[in-house]
Amino acid sequence: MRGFVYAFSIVTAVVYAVIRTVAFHKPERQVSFEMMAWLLILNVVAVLIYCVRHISVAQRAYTFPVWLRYAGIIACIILLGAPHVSISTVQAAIINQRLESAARSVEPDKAAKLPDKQLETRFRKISAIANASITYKIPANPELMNKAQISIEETLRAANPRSQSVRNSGVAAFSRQQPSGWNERAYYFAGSRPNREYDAFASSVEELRMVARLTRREHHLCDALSRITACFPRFTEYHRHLQ
Amino acid sequence: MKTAPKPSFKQKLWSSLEPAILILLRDIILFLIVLAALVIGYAGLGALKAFGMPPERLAILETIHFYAYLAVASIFLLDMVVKIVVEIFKGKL
Repeated sequence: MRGFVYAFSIVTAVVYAVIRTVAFHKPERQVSFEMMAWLLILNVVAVLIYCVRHISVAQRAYTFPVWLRYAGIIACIILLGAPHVSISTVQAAIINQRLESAARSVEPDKAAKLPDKQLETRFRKISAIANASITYKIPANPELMNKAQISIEETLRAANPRSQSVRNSGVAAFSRQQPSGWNERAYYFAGSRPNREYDAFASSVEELRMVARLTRREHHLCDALSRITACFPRFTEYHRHLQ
Repeated sequence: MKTAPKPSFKQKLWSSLEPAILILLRDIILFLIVLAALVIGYAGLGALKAFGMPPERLAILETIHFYAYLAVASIFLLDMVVKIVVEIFKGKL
């Protein structure tokens, strides 16, 4: 029994500490204290359970089945712990974990020599993560976003993919990491309230600029902007400013 | 009639330490075995590093290894203190 309690508490404590460190990026010192507290609590609970099961103080009129006692203890722990669990923190941790893994998959030394198809899939994955973060207002770690951005930029430069769709997906992934900056500037220069039409325009221009800059095809930018502004005559002034 | 020989200093020391040592010896041996297993695990990590495992994956294994050390050491200390306290209450020490 004692050996089982030790083994169980060590395994659960290690799993808990690893999750807190790897997924939630908590400092090692804090996690160490939490882990020791967890070990202490688990062992005290084990001693209490042992006492309840083996030391009879008085003749009891009724007893609960063993499974019900354990289920009750677990339910009490969950009920006591539930108010302290922040859903948004958990969501942010999941987003950060996925973003970190996705950013690692597009690091230049790994991704530069990949076939276009695989590269596009990885870029799209980053875009999807960023979209989920923006849509559901889940705050992602800015350092990770910056890291992902740098990786995408360097990979695009190193790989210089031929396929337009790969470039577009890379740039989309890059621009999703900074959803506010460029669009805000665009709104400012246009002097109008943001609307869906303008949003689409600003997003297209932004992506084209990124494609041109990252793939060193600046001369394509003017043609592309002309085509876009022809569709949106209201933004001629803005187009002029960009040129 | 022969009188019992007077116990030497060593015998006196052993008889005073024996109960505590016997109580803790099993756990000390168990702890040393687990520690040896973790040291072998550490050597395994070194081998993985030498074989060129990516550092980011190795970092996760190192984290698990570090927390395993910490958990085992904490449990050992906790167990030692609890046992001593229990034996003092029982009057064996």
